[in-house]
Amino acid sequence: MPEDDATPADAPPPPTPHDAAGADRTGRAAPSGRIWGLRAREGRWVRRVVPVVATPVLLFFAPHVYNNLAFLTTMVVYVVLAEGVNLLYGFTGYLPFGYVGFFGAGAYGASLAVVDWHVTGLVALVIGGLTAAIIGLVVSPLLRLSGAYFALATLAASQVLYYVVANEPWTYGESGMSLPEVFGATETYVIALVIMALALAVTVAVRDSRFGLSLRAIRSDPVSAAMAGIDVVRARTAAWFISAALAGLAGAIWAIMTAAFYAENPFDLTISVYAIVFALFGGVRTVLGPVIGTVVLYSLYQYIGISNPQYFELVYGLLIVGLALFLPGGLGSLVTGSAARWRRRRTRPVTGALDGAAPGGGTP
Amino acid sequence: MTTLLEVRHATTGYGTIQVLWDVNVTIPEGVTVGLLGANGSGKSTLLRAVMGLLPLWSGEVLFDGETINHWDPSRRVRSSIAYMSEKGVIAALSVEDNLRVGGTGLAAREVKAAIARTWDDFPILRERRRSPAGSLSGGQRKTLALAKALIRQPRLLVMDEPSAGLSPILVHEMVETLRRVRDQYFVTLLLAEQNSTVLDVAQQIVVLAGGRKGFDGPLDEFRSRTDVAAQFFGLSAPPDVPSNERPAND
Repeated sequence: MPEDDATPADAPPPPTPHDAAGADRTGRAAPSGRIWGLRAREGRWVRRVVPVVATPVLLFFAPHVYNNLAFLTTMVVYVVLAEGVNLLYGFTGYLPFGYVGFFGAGAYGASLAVVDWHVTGLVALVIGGLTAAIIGLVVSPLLRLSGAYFALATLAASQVLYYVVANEPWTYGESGMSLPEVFGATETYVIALVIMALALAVTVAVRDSRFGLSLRAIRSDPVSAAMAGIDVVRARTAAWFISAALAGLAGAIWAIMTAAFYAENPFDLTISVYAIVFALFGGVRTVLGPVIGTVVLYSLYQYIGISNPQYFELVYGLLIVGLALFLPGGLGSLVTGSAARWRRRRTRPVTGALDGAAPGGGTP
Repeated sequence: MTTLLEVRHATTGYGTIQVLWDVNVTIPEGVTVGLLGANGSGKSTLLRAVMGLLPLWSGEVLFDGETINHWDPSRRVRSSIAYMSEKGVIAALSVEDNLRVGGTGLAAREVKAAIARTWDDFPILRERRRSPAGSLSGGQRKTLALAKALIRQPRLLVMDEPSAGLSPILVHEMVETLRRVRDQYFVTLLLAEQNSTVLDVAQQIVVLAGGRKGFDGPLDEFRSRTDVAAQFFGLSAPPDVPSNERPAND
């Protein structure tokens, strides 16, 4: 069990003059904080840049391994959605069951811009993201709710949006949407990868910034956060807009890829559920967790779900139950957990320090 | 001496239940005020009203001569009023991140300097800088809560039961730390307490009983007045008050 390492019994003995030599023998980093020969500052930049750059580059070559661009593009779209859920749920604790509403809004915003206004593809993408952000503004009073009430209210809001879109003539609710070809298949995939890189960059920025720290403080204890000077409402709303805009971009590129669809497709509640499950499976509050969760589970869906649909739900269900029971932090917690344990072993133990405040010598 | 904080005719409560009845408190700059009272006497409610966590039904809170009734809590905190709640720290964050949260709104450079100053003033925190605040001992948590509240170098520090949950030895250490901090940071302290050991640090005592102000005067006078002790217990308090709630020099 990973918890065992945290017990004081496991803590290393007090440092002795031989300690430094001991550290070298076991191959652990010296107290200077070097990791793989990098200074702490450099290491931090590696941790920031590598996920954002390496993930899209790796996936760019994925068609050479599995040549199915429709599947790969959808998977990348799900990565974006899972990162959006990660931002909202992982950093603020709000679980948006109606997240699909932003996806649908983005899909329709981009499609209508192409069909009615004949804009170029990239402009359509931006309009898709903006549409979702505007919907986010309209429903932002929902942030007054919390917990299950928030989850259910967003679900209801997404259904309201769905029924409007499915029935209005100006959204082509009756006939369904059909787009001319905007991008080629490979082009669409590359643009999806760029959107994913943006989502990853935003997640990294939020994780490492003071804004992200504020969000984590709010998630942990909103009253204490407010008492530290954090504007709780503003911080939550900002995370909400960012997350909505990402879902809108994902919806827009999905619509351009799909080209012909009815309102029930981009407003399908399964999209919300999958995005949430993928994010939780991989591990929220990490950058790569949602990526890994999506790649593993969506590939599994493609592999079993198509060939043996009768077993698919069974395998999926068992995986999720197993994860919830044995690894509640998601797959990502395997990595972050061991990193934390490794750091703990490296830091020197507290010796002879009083339990309270500063030593008496500090009095002026 | 200028008046730093003034509470005028504060009346408030929760829902329909009134807790404070026309309370007046004046805190001059540089004077440490101890707010005494039994459980349910309205100490925390008064502090919550000062911080804007609870709106007043009537009355006024003035800071530095200006009414701040309409300021929300985060504005009060940014305007040099710090608050240290009983819990005080954000358990999920590391020690260093707690301090950074305490510096919300300050420039990154200022936060860095303030944290460096904290490491000097509270060496124990430096040793635990990467540990989650939830893993600290009770005394360390209080130290962190204090350091977090001091990050902005506030003019007024409002503390709700700084001694709660500490052993007698640690309470004495806390008192020493408060003295040191007061002189070093030039901060005016307003402490709500049940534990009379902490009173040693106070210069002025305000006693609340049943939501109304009783005694209000210098510490020496409080000590010499035996009748105030009854007020301190609260006239309606049960006879078996735990011993740690009695004034020390009884």
